[in-house]
Amino acid sequence: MSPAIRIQDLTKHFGPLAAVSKLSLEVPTGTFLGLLGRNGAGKSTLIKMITGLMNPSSGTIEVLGQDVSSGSLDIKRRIGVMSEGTALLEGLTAAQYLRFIGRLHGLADELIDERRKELFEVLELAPAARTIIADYSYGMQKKTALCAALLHGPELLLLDEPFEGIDPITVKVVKDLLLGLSRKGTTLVLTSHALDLVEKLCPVLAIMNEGKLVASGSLEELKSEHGQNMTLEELFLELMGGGRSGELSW
Amino acid sequence: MVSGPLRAMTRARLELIWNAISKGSGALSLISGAVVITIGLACLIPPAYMFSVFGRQLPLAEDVVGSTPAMTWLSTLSALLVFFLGGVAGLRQHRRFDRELLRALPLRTSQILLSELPFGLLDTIPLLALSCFAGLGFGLTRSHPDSILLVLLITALGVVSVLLVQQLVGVLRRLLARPRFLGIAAGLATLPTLALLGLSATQGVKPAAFLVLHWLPTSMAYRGLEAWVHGDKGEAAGFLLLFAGFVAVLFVLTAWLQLKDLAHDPPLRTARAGKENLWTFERPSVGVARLFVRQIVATTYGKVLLVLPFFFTGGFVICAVKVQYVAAGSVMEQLFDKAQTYPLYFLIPPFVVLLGGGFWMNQFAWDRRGVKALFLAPIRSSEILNGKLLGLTWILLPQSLLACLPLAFLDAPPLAHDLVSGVASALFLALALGTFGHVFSARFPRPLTESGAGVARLPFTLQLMSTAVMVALALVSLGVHAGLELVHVWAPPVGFVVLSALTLGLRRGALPLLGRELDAGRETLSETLG
Repeated sequence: MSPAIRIQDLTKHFGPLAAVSKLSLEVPTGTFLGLLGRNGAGKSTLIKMITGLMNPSSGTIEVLGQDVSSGSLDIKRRIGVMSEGTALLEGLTAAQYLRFIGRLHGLADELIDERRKELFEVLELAPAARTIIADYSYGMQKKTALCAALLHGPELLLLDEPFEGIDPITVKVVKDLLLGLSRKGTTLVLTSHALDLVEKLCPVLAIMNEGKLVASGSLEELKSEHGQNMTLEELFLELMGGGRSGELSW
Repeated sequence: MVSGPLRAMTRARLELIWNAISKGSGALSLISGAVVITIGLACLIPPAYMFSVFGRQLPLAEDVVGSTPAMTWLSTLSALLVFFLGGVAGLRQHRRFDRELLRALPLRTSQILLSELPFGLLDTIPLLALSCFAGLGFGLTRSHPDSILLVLLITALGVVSVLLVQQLVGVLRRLLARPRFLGIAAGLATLPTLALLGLSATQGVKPAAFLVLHWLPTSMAYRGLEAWVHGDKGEAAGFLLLFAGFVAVLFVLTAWLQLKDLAHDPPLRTARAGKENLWTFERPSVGVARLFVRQIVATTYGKVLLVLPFFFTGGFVICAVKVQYVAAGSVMEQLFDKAQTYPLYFLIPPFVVLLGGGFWMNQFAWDRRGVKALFLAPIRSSEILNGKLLGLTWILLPQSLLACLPLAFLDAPPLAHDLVSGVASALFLALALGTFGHVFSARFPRPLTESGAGVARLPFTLQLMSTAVMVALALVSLGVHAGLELVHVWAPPVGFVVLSALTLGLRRGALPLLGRELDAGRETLSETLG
C-alpha cells in the first residue's frame, strides 16, 4: 500500500530564504502525525505545498498515490484541509458555507444538512449557524473550518493549528473527534504549538527547524534517542537548542 | 497635553502610509507612484480652474444683498461640496486604526477625530472638494482683493466642514446598523422634511427651496462675504460666526458619535432571508457565480460600488432638471441641454461596465481568505473562471440598467433601440473585460481592507494597462455603434450580440489557457488575499 503522503527532496524558496529545504518524509496510511516546529520553521509552507496551494521550488509530493503537481481533482475529493488561520468565505453564514463546500464536493443537499447538523451539534456551532462568518470569533471560525474539512469524510486530514483560539471544552471535543477518526483509519497530519496536546494525540512526530526535518519517528523512538524520561516539551526544547530566560529589565 | 497623543497618532498614520507605499517595492514602483500622484493632482487643476473663473465672474458687488442669483449659485455649490461630496466620501470612509486599539489607547475622541481629519484628504473626493473650494476662493480674491483674509478663512472652514461631513457620514454609516440609532436618525430627518413640505405647501416649491438654500449653514460663509463686499462688517461677522458655529457643532457631533461608535460592540449580523437561505446548484460555476455576487453585496465597499453609477446619473438628472429653474439661459443650462442630445441610453450601460473595474479587474479579492477554500475544492480552474464571468454579468448588467433609471425623469423619452444597444454593448464589454480580468485578477490581486471598505491602489503601469484595454474596447463599442447605426437603427444591437457571441467563442477556446493562468496564480492569490 502506498503511503498517504510521500515527500522527496522538497525545497521552497522565498527569494534568498529557504522556507523548506531538501525535506523528505513519508506518512503511512492511517498514521496520526504531529508536525512540530517553532514559528517560521516551515510547517505551514509544507502543508500548503501538500495541498497544492503553494508550488515547490524543487522536489516532489505524492498524496494518496498521486502527484500533487498534476492538480488532480481526485486528490481534492479525498483530502480535508484546515488551513493556517481561517480560509473561509466570510460573507456567508456557517450553514451556507458548508452547503456551498458540500455541493462543490458533489454531496447531496440532504447529506450535507444531516452531517452539518451533527457537526454543529458536536462543535456547539448550532446557535450561530445563521450568523455571518465574518462576525464569528476566531475560535468559532476555526470550528467552522474544521466542519468544512470533515464534511465530505476525507481519507487524509491536514490540520494547521486546529486548537488555536478554541476553548478547553471544545479542545476536548475536537481531540475525541480526531482520535475517533484515527481509529477508523483516517490519516491525520496536525501542526500545533500545544505540545501537551500533540503528545496525547499523535503517536508519530515530525519536528522541523529552519525548513529542515530535524527528527521524525514515533514518540517512543524519539524518547529512546534523547532520554526515556523526557516529556515532549523537554525533547522539543533540546532539539531546538533550549530556551532563553523570559525576564524583563524593568 | 493634546499635542503628544495627536502627534503620535499622526506619525503612526504617516508611517502606515509609507510602509504601504514602500512595502516590497523598488525604485520603479516609487517612481510610478510619484507619477500617479502627480497625474492625480494634475487632474484637480481643471475643476479648480473652472471654479476660479466662476468665482472671478460672480457679481457679488453689483448684486443687491439678499436672494440674488450669485448667492444662489454660491449656496448651491457650497452645499454640494460640503454635503454631497463630503457625504459620498463618508460612504467610503473607514477607520484606519483597529477599533480595539483605539479603545485601548488613552485617547480622547476629539484627539482621534483631529488626527483623522487631515488624512481624509487622501481620498479623491475630498481632494476634489478642496480644489473646488480653493479655485472658488482664488477667483473671489481676484475680483475682491480686499477680502482675501476672509476668503481664506471661508475656504479653510469649507474644507474642514467637508472633512467633518466625511467623518460624520462614515461614523453614521457604522452606527445606523443599530436599530436605536436608525430610529433617532429617522426621527431627526423627519422634522426638517416635514418643515420643508409645510414651507413648500404655503410658499410654493421654488421659493421654499431658495429659502432653505439661502439659510443652509454652508451658505452663511458666502452671505458673510457678500455682506463684507457691501461694506456691512457687522453682518459679515455675524454670518461668519454662524458658519464657524456650524463647523464647531459638526465637530462636537462627530466626536460624540465616534465615542458612541467606539463604546459599543458592533451587533452580530445574521442572515435575514428565509429559514437559512441555503443554496443548491448542480454546476459548480453557478455556485461560484452566486458566491461572487454574495461576497460583493456582503461588503460596504461592494454595495457602494453597486449603487454609485445610479447616484451619478441621478445627480446628473437632478442638475439637468434643476438648472432649468435656477439658471435658465445660462451656459450651464446649455451644457446640460447639449448633454441630453447624446444617446444616453446607449452610452450609460457600457460606461457603467467600463467603470466597474472594482469587479472585473479584481475578481478574487472579494473572496478574501476564502479564495483558498475555492482552490482546495475539487473543481476545475475553468469552472471557477466561468463562475466569475457569470457572476460578473449578474452584477454588471442589472447595475447598468439601474444607472439608466434616473434618465426616465428627463424630457426625452427612451429610444428602445438605444437602450437595447446599450445593454448589448454592456454585455459585450462585460464578457471581454471579464475575460481580460481573469488574467489580470490572477496575476495582480489586490486585497480588500479588513473592513471591506476599500482596496489597495493599483501600481501605475498596471493602471495604464487596464486603462488602455478599457479605452480600446470603448472605442470598438463606439465605432461599432456609429458604423452600424448608418445601416439601420437596430443594426448596432445585432452587431453587439454578434460581438458578444464571438467573444464568448474566443474565450471558450482560450479557457484551458486561462485556467493554466489561474493555476499559476494560485500561490500569489492565496498568499496575497489569505
